[in-house]
Amino acid sequence: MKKIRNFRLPSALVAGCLVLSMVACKGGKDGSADDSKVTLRLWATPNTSRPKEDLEKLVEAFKAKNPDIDVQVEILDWSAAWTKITTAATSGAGPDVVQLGSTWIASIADIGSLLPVNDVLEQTRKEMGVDSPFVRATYSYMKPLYADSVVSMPWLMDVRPLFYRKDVWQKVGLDIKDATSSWDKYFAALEKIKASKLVIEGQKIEALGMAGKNDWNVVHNIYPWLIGNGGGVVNAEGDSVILDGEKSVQGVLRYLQFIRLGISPKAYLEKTTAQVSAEFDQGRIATWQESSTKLVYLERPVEQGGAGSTYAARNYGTTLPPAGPAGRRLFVGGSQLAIFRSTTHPKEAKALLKFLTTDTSVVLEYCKLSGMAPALRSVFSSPYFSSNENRRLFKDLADYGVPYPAVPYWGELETSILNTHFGNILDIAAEVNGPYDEAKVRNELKVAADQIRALIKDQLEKKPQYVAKLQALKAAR
Amino acid sequence: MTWREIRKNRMAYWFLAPTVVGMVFVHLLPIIQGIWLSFLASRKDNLILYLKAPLPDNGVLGNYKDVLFDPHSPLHAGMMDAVRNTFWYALLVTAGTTLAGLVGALLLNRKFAGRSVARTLFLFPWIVPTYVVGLLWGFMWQQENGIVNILLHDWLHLLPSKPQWLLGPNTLWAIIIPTIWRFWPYSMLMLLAGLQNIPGEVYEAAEIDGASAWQKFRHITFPLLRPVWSVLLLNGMLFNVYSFNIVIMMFGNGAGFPGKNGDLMMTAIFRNSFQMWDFGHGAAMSVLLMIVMLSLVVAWYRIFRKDLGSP
Repeated sequence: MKKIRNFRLPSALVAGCLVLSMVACKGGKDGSADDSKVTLRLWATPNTSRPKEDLEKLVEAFKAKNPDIDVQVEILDWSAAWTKITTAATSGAGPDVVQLGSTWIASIADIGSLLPVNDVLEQTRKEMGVDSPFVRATYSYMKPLYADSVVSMPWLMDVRPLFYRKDVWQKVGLDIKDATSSWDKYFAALEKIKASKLVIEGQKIEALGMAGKNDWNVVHNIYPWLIGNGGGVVNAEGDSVILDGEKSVQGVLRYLQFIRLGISPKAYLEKTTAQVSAEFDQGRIATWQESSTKLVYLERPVEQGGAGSTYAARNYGTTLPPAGPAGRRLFVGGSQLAIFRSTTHPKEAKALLKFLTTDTSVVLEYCKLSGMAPALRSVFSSPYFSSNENRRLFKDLADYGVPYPAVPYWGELETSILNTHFGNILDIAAEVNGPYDEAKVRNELKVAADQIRALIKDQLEKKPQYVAKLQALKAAR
Repeated sequence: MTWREIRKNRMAYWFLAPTVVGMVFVHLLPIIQGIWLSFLASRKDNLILYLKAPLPDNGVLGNYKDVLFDPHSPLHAGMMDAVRNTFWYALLVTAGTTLAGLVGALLLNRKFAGRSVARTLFLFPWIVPTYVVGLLWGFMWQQENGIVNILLHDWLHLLPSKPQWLLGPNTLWAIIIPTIWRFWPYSMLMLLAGLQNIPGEVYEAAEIDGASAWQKFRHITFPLLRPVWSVLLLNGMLFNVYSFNIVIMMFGNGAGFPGKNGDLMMTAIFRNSFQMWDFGHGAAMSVLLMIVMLSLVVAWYRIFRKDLGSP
């Protein structure tokens, strides 16, 4: 009996702790301690060097304006983001607000897991007094081809200026503005740089840098050469394949010419974008195209991890990439913000969405931190963009941007089919399996086109609603 | 087995029960799910249905037909390359790790000063995670700045020019060599344990009979290590056919396509199934691979069952 008595005190303590912990577990609407607060979950990918801290700082102003709303920021690594987001989309256990890569929108919207946000867009239009508050290229991602509603709001844009070494172009006596007015002039200018065999600061200068197939930009790099020549992968409605059409084939062949003729070294084909970019920083490349985020890196001092005071950073300029026979048509990517249909706080989530995508000062601040271009047009008039020689270009880059067709099967098409066959084409140009043969390039494009045709046929057969939508789209056009 | 025998050993069955239950949940059920999924048209838009997804339009074996015969299926198109690469990769890595392991084990089986330190150092590659191996060797294989070409061309002058390792036919070597480097210590450890189990008297008797070093290896070491060979062969076969990390880390930071010469079965299935959200076709290809591997394991068991002490 005495033994049992000895256990009374510990037992009482344990019971007390259990009661206390159960009381503590009873939180607010979302398990938070404060009953009156709504907690929103925001999933974002790393857009800045300190992604979580920077985004949390950005939403502080929102929280101050909306004391009843708390925002929990969660950062998803790019490599895991697609899997996590699609899993959340299909399971319905996602966050309230989510950052989506622009080419993902149509796919996620197709699952039916994004909340329509037409009212947010309409409200923005009304408040700003303009019909198109955002860059034109983002509209197809806001309302994908087969979607019935606006499902996302544009946030950041991935635009890609041509970085060039002013000293090199000057030494060879070339004007880059003139050289980029057409593909022919651009090619001739780069050939001249190559022939000049310049050595500057002990570095042999390559005319152009082009990364190879071991990189996530393969399709983004080649696509402008298809559309710049009047071709493409699929037509505007996404139901017909034009990849093996002559205009597309010629576009690809023009792209490969830079590799075949050694204007961009074949050795670069085994490198990633980051590795070729480092070659530019080390002063070995005269011309190089990369995302605008590189500007932040080139402006940042070396001691802070940038390339600020290097020879290349002191002598670079930016300009628009070359115009093709069909006009200047450039790659444009970026991110949109959307709301998962599973949210239990749609009103608050829309308020956050609107704050992040349409508040000029917030978008500007985030562009400064990330180095990306704004999707909100009014931000371009800020002196940060308009009075800076390099960033002034962003508006033109965005305006010349041509989005990928916003079809739900673009993800599959790009990941599995285009990456594979464009990769094989780069191998053909690198002559790793024998001498270059144009017929082999054409065959790769033909096989890819046939695979895309089979994919589209399969999609349209399985989803009769696509066919009805397509007919309506075509009739409207 | 009689009821009496079962009752006699019931404690042993109780001890085995948790493992059996675990195996059912961790192995058997997922395998059955995978096989079931291979008969369904499980795709992104019906993922929520999971095992209740509809059958493919071209019949219950539709996914298998597509993977095996449809020229427009990306899985079929790249399959022959992936099968060929996986065959050579598994064969050469298994042979390479076993051979390197044997040399290492024979060296470490001798008595010399610092043997313990050498044993520890030799194990170093094995403790490096495979994804780190993939990343590091990706840098080492670079044509201009990679240490491999600097060593072979600039310092040792063994090659007339710097080859490209990460493009074209050399890609296969670029993934085989790091895999051998990563896994040979495991073979060495197994073989060393086997060597130390061979009684010294056997070698002494052979020496008395005038056997040469080669004869001792040929007639004593090699046959007595047969149980170890069998395990290494099985392990190598399974691990290397299902290899994924090193390749995906070396080439997968973007497109995830190592090229026609480096694509393995697992990277091909991952790219064309997981990244496409086409689980039906991916499951079909995985089941086909499982059947091939099962046949090889059965063949292996028939060849080596006596060495494993089975009747």
